[in-house]
Amino acid sequence: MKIFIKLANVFALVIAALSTSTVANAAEDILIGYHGPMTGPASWVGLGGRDGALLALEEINAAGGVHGRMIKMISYDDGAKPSEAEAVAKKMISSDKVFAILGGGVSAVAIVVGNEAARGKTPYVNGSGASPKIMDIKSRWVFSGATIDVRDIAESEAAFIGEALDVKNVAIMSATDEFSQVLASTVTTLIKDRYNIDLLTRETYNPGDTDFSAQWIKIRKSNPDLILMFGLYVEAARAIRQARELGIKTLIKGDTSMMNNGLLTIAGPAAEGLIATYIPAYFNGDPSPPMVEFEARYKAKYPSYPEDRPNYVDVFNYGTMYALAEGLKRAGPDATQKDLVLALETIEEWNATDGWAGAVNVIQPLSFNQSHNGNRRMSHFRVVNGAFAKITDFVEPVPSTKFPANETLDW
Amino acid sequence: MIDVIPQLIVSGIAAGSLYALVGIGLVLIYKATEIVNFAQGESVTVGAYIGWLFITEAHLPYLPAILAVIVCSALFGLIVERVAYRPLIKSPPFTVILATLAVGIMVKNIIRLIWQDTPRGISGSISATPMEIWGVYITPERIAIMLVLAVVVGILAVFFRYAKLGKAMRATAQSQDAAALMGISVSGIFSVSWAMGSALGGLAGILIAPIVGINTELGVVLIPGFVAAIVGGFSSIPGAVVGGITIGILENFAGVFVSSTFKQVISFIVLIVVLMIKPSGLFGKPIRKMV
Repeated sequence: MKIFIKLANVFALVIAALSTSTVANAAEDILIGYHGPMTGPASWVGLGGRDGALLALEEINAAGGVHGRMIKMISYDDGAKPSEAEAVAKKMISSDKVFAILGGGVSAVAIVVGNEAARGKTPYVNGSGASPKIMDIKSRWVFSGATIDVRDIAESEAAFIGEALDVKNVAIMSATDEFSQVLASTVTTLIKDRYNIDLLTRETYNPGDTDFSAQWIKIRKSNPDLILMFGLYVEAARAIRQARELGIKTLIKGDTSMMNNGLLTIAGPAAEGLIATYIPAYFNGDPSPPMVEFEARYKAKYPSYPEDRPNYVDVFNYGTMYALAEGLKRAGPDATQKDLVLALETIEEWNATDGWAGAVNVIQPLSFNQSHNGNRRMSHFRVVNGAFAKITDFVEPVPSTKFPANETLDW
Repeated sequence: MIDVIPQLIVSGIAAGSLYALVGIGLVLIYKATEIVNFAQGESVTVGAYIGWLFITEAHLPYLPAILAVIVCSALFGLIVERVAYRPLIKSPPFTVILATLAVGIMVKNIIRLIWQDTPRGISGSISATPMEIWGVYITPERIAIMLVLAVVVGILAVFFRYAKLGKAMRATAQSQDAAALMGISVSGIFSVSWAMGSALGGLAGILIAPIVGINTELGVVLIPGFVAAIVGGFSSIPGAVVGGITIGILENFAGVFVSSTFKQVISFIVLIVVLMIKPSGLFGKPIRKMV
């Protein structure tokens, strides 16, 4: 008889454990998992995303949390390596039993974590990865927050290059990471098909590289009308500086990563004239009241951080964490993880300040009511007198990419 | 494409000068101690961070900051040698080599704990505006690095030829036992070697910082510096210089005439070829040990 009682106890414990993995216990904190590169060449992505999210969490919890429960975040360094990200995702889902995951990783890693989250039926809100393969997971559990899909970035880039810049040919200098390679290929195809702009040469570099002279000498020889750069800002800043050292005066058009004051610090005067694409509503150094307020709060929480922080990933995940909290609020006090997904799918043209009086509205309005791709607005900036100045309004690209409707995604 | 060859060579020398500085640091330590210092890349990182501190916190101008970095990096080398390597002086070289790996990892992570991996930047006082000479572009900043390399090689040549300490270091490199019998403090020579190697790494760090920014990954220049030292013979300072500049130039030629991907592997191909044809390196002498 005793053995049956013991078995019944074990069974009850198992049921309890399973229950807590899918149903938020009203008495406990809500645990959110976070991943991003916190070491290595892409560390500024993961650190920024983490710090932005933590600032939002502090504000959310100070305002009473969600339905009286505090949100806690457990952070993991994925090193921007898919193999490490897979282990981290499995740990968050199976061992930590997080209620949802917030992504601060680069594209290659966000794809892996997205797939693991879909398999583990854990809501995943990607905050900074942009690869099409993230949305192509086509899972009800995978969302893309304040960031923007590469296909939309490419549409916007191509329209700007073809319509705002008078160029007949381009050269490409891109990093070898997933995001840069996919974006470079997509933009090349679009500008050729729509505007008959030729690609003269395409050169690559690795994350962490410090010398780019061979690539630039080849590009200089091809004499392009425009140089397109795709890659994270640290290497891009080094490369831009070296391009000017080698006498290259051609206009350089950078991607979304390069809209970063850190680029100006490293590249210095060589960055003058650079055009970069940008996504969040506000940018570092913006004199508008929301960004001034955001920077003041950020500097108060992180007083020792350098001048180029917060950067756009801080902004992305500050807003995306609020979106996650909004989903938790809409899901109700005894929500399951599935309830959270359904609640997030009700978000439409939502600003971070909607329902959160203490928030600062620094990201674009998010919508998950039609597809899981939350944002598609972007703009272009140019470096003028050592600072970024807006040259186009934030608009959705035309045509916009067709993302699958929510009801067609797999549970 | 023939017309870009002069630019490839000049830019290759500029990049290779930095590899050579890192390589010389490795050679200095190896010559005296027979230890390959895998933490030499972190000496570069430490030098860059020390320079950043002097310039941004102490508001020191760039050139005095270079001198301060050399001194502080030498002190850093001395301390690390006393704390991490001196206790292992009787251990097999392999143990100490592993210790250098551990020190490198520790140093990088201590920096991360203090300042995280967020990149920093400093501006050097030497102009980065390019000059054009017969179609070849070069900046005063890059010329300065080449000149620094030349000055370092010159100082080291004089030091090892004429200075008493330099002669003692050469004697120790030839035979530690014989040097000890002649009254030379071998452990003292070890300390000086680590200090000099670390100072050279720090110098490379402060020189490269205005050009590429500062983060904990600056130590990646260890790899081309390491290849430069091996190609040169690992015990020869002129060898490290020739090795570094050769690698710099070959990387450029490979990048332009083959592909930018091939640029990343050419130094390792050269390394394998040199080791197959002349295992002691271009300037090294075969060592025969009695067993």
